[in-house]
Amino acid sequence: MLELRDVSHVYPKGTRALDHVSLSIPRGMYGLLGPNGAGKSTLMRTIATLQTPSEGTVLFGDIDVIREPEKLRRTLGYLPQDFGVYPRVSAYDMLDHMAVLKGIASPADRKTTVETLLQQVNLWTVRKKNLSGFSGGMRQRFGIAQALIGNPELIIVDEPTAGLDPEERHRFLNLLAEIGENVVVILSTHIVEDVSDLCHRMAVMTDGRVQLEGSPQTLIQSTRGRIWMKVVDRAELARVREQYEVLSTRLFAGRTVVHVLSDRDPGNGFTSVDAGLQDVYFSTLAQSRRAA
Amino acid sequence: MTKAMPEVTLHATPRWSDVVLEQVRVAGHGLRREAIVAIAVLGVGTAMVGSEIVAGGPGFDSNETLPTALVAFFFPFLLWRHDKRFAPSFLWTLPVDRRRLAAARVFAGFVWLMVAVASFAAWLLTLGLVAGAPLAHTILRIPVVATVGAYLFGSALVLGLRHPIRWLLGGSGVLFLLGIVGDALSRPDDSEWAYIPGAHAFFEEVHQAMELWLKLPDSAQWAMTTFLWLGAGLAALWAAVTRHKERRRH
Repeated sequence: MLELRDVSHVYPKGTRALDHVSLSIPRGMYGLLGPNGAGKSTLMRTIATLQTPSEGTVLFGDIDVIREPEKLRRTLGYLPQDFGVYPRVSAYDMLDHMAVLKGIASPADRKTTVETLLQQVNLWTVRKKNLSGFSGGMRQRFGIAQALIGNPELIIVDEPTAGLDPEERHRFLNLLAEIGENVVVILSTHIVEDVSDLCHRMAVMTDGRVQLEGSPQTLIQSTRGRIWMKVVDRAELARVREQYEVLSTRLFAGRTVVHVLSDRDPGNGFTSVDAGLQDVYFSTLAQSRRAA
Repeated sequence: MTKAMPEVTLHATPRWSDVVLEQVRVAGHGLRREAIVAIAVLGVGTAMVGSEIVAGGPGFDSNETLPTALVAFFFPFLLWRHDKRFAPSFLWTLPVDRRRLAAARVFAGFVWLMVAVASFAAWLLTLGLVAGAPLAHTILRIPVVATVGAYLFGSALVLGLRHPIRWLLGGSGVLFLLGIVGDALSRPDDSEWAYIPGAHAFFEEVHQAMELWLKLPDSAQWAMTTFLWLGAGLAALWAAVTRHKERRRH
């Protein structure tokens, strides 16, 4: 449904933020993973018509997004990282305002839309409270409510769970899962669990390029047999880092669990483990670093 | 090879009148706190003038122009203070033309400014009537045209420049320096002007133009000044709003 062909973007100071990105994004939840500075937000802004790429084509259905951005905006829902407008306005008034700007002219239709959305995102009881008094999670739920005005067919959410506590994050992801069945939802994040919990398809970006693309299950399968694990002491960690390609480390009961990437059994007490999406992600980053 | 793409359902775009009304509503909401402060200031003013009248004083004894134009000039800074005017902003993803949205916000600010000026005038007139003050001491002290012009220029500054405060301070500094230099050199009879070809002729032209201007009736002077200031303000505003036109790669 959403097609990106050879999309590149070079900022005026010469930074190449996107480098020949080509993606086909079908209906459903699509995860875009990558570290900070990978080009995810530039790509999100490009699809959301906030900036024009230096080259390439973006098509959504029969809409040429670059030539006809105003057309895409009539079916776009966008939740940016920073949703900071009119902070002294209540949630109800702000949604009503957005509904007008999205072309819902009839007051009765607007009332129905706003009330339904506030209930859907569980903000009905705080509808009269100013947005400036909202917590991070409430703001994000408000953000998704405004993105849903007008039944958009393309929804873009940029780093939506950053800074949310676990309960708020869980609630927000459930909400996204509900809406992501019949429309295209692009979820940009650096949190691997968000993608593994929600997305049918995903891509990993680094240095402005798409390094990996596919369904999480297929990508996990492709890494099977290449991830090895060992529990080491903290003092041993530096040596392990020198000898192996360490993907991740985490503490468990005071000791360090190390995951390494290797095509063969590295020996030395390492055991093979079932790869998770996090291993896929970190191995892609490692390969990208090696290639650079 | 290009595959046939399925059509996408598009919702309606907002009506221009709806966008303007919305901006008026939202701008009003955003200015509530400032309105409360202004009402409090008027309350204090009422108490001060009232106590003077009660004590047998005149209440109103000045016919100097009130600085509403200065307030109007800085009003757009207040109106736009939370908006990302140049950075890609969330509002740019809505199906409303950016220039129209900016112009609608300027108009919304103008509406609320005029409401404020009218309320202030009504307050001044009421107190003046109570105090028995002449009209020249009350609402005639409000320079309406200058207030409108100042609002247009202030809006143009805020909308047209990324760093209006810096430009304002820099411009004021340059004008101040020019004033000093101009003051030092503004004596056409002084010998230093003799070295600049055509200087005396230029000052003669300026002098004649000034004399012609002073011969015009007051109403003609007012009409011309109004036309020039408001015209220049609108032109500056148009240029500023044009900066917000969406640019695309074709």
